[in-house]
Amino acid sequence: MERIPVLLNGMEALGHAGMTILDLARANGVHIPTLCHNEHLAPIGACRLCVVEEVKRGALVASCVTPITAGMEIRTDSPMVMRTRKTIIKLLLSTHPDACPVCDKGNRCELRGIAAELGVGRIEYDRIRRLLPIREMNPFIQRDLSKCIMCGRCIRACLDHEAVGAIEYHERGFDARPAALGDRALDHSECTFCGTCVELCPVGALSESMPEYRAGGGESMFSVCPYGCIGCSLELRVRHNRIVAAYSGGGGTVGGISLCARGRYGLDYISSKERILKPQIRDCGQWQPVSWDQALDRVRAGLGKILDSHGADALGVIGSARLVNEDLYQLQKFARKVLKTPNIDSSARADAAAFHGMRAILGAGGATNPLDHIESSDVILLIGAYPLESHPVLAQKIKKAVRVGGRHLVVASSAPNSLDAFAGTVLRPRPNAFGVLVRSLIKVILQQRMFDHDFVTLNCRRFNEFQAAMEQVSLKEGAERSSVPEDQIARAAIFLTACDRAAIIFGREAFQERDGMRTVIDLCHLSLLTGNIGNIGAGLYPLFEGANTIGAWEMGAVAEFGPGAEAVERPGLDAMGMLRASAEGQLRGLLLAGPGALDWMPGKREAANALGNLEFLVVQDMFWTDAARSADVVLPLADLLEGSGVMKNVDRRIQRVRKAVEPAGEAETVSAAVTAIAAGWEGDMGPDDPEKILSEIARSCPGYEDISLAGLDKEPISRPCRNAETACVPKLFSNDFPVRGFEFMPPVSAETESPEPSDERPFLALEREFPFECAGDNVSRHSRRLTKAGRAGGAAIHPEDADKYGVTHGPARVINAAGDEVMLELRLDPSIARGLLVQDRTNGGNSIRRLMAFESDAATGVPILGAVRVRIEKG
Amino acid sequence: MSAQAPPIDPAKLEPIIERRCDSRWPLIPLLQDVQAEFGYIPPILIKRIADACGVFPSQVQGVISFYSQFYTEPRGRNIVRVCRGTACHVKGGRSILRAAKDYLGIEEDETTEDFNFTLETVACLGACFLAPTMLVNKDYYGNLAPQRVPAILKLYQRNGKDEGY
Repeated sequence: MERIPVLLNGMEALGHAGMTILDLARANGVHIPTLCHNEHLAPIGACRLCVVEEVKRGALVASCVTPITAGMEIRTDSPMVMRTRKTIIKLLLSTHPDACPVCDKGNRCELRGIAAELGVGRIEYDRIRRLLPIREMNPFIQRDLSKCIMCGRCIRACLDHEAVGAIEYHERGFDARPAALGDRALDHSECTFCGTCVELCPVGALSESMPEYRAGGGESMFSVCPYGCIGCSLELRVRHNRIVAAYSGGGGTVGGISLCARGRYGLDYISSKERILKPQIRDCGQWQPVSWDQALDRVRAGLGKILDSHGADALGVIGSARLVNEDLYQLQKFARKVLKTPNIDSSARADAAAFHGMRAILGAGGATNPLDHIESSDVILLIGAYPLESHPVLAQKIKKAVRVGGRHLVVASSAPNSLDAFAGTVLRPRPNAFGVLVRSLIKVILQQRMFDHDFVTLNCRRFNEFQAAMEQVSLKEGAERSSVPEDQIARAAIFLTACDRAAIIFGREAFQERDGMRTVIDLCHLSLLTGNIGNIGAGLYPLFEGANTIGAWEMGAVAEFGPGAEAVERPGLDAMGMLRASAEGQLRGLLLAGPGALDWMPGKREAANALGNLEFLVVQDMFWTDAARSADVVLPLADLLEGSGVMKNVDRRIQRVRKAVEPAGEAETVSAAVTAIAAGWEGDMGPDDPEKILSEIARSCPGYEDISLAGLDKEPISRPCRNAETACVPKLFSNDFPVRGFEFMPPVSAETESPEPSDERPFLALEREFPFECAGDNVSRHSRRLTKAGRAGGAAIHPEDADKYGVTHGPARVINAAGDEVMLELRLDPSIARGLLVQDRTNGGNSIRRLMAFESDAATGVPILGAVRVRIEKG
Repeated sequence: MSAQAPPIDPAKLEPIIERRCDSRWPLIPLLQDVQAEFGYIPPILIKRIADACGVFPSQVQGVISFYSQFYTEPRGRNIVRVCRGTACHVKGGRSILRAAKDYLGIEEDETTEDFNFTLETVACLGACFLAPTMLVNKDYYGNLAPQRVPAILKLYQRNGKDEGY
């Protein structure tokens, strides 16, 4: 690269083309104060505080936007520069309110910091007050624009970084301010409450809405977000053992400076008053708070009695994908080594189709590429997911790729998608027809010979067999059954094949329908056919439900795998199998450990019946769930951020979760609880110490050999990765695959037809995620701010359907074929297709999951959670 | 007389979008055409305009609110601009403004209830030799006296010398 010599404060400095004066100064350790500049945003030179003197011209230039040229002579601290900077700060302060002692920004205020640094004392200018009302109508963000210095950071964050576009400059001159459309309150705007603007605001103009969650005075620590599988890095502010604020930490490893409303504002569930604080025993129908020792004695007595009389196979353990690896590892060890039962599973079962499908073709379950690669994809196929609600930080990358990068987005979802506005192509397949749609795409690509011939012949086996089997598939029938017109399928196929790099992002709707695992396998086929494995900007991204889904599989907290995701000799019952066995009286004792162990399941009565039929039920959870209420013993659970350990996110990064606060009450981690139970039996669980458990995991789980807490301290480690020496090459495959390393799996059986509309049950009920409730677990329902912002569970139908079937907005009963019903709040929405009922996904009792048949795939055992036929009656 | 703003027909926006959206920087010419069509830029159209130009609605609003000659509220069919420049001020411009206010029953920057008149002031009409002056739509009136103002404005009542937009 060409070096450009510049004289910086009399010293020779070398820069390169494209560098600004500010970049050069920072690279050479020369300090220039800035206000509007932020490394994550494009510079605009608005505040002029970074002016420097260009000696030859005698001019002042803004260093953040002025590129260096050869022979430039720069002074960053000449009297003229210092005088100008002081004047700028004085002018800013002359309109700034004197609210510093009570301002949330406190000593973190950059304006105040720079004023002190420049030695600005008395301000000789007349004060002009900007009297603007404080806007405070939502539970997240408060705007006090009288403190705004118009640096434009919030606007650039909203427009360019988050691609939300909720706020922009409004009006002109002294009246100019960031404002939403129509100058409305944020909760009536496009705002998604990601909070990036609050984090970037240099002054106190944007702050947390509720005073008790303001960060002033807190101590800082770093951890990982416990919501969802993206695993964003968090900088937490902790005051008096309470998490008061969460920030991205200025561009952590995952998520950059983006977080979502849940991660930033939804962690207050940890200090919720509804937490279970003490172990409880049920005596004669009454809950008695007891000591841990008493509770553990009862657990040992209850489980021991069943062990003695019916053997280990009558016991089962179900964990949660929202636990750290250490907990999951200890939990499966407890089941297999102490209870000696093969019946261990976890809520990662909900993601079984995605994990097994990808493993079958690509050898590993999890995203093949890092999340950041999405921004460099030419075409993004988003199928069966609503990421703006379910995985907002991933959605941010998609939106940025489209808005800033000009990429093409293909959206395929059954209900209207919030990303439709960003999509170049929108496909609206019928629910339960995603497999049909994917096979139709493959059909077009094979028929038109649009596939990547070189890639397929070089890297794949059984392609001819696959191609021959695909002859059976009819495009016309596929278009009919998915109700996506042939020309739209062809259009999407052309976009996928005509570009260099296409990423496929798929979610729940695609893999939880009937034959969902086949759909995932075909999505892998689609990626192979288009030569999109192994490139930057290509690859496959599954959107898991659990925060640590991959961890649960790899730790062996599932029926079919032991530690290291190695198949066990005698697989036990999976979670749904255990409930079936319990209903039949085969399974008599059950331990549920972790949040949301059962919430993901379909069916209304099955879980309750099964739990009611148990002789002995132990639940370790944070909140009183339905399962906890029917338990014999309830143990208080410590949250992820109250314990420490490691988790693996969706793009295979093993990350360290650090303890932020002491556990509430007597809450304990799952590993501590099972170790304590085992101790009374003289079962050998090993030491209950995260470091020692992790070294045991390193010994017994392939892929974790060199993982240690100390090693994870600096940055996450990606596993599996292409080769172990370059641990930080997070891309799963590169162009140097083993020759013909991938094997196609030709389709075998005829496809099953999705249930036809019937006059009795004219609606197909499906779920669409809700931004303020995390679907993967039940804890976000206990966040004060998230619940204040809105409750999930409502549902929408088309107004004409409402007229036709004599229902209207308001409470309604939704009834399935078995006569089960849920009550929900109905609203009318013309954007919903006729014949659909779209519920804001909830974990509450009124979830339409309660109407789905309690069914898992006969061959693969993966649960079926597709749309369900219902009728609606007035509530 | 009614306080209701004249209803707008959003369908009239489509041909404007068709005409303008091919160009490279369509937003400002498009907004000008919208204002020529409707007399102002109805806020309910902002979303459609933003979609057509591939920008966020808030960005369209930012452009509209930056320029003082884009209006987001309905304006009268006739725009009365009274000169408040130095020459007119010396020659009694203030009394002309007062006469116009009295006759129309509105204040500066307001619109009559029947949407017949909007009253504005300008810094200079560039016709100082005719001071005090007033501009109604595109017609200049100079050497004014307050007594003449009602008669002039009467010309522009509906069915009178109605210029439209």
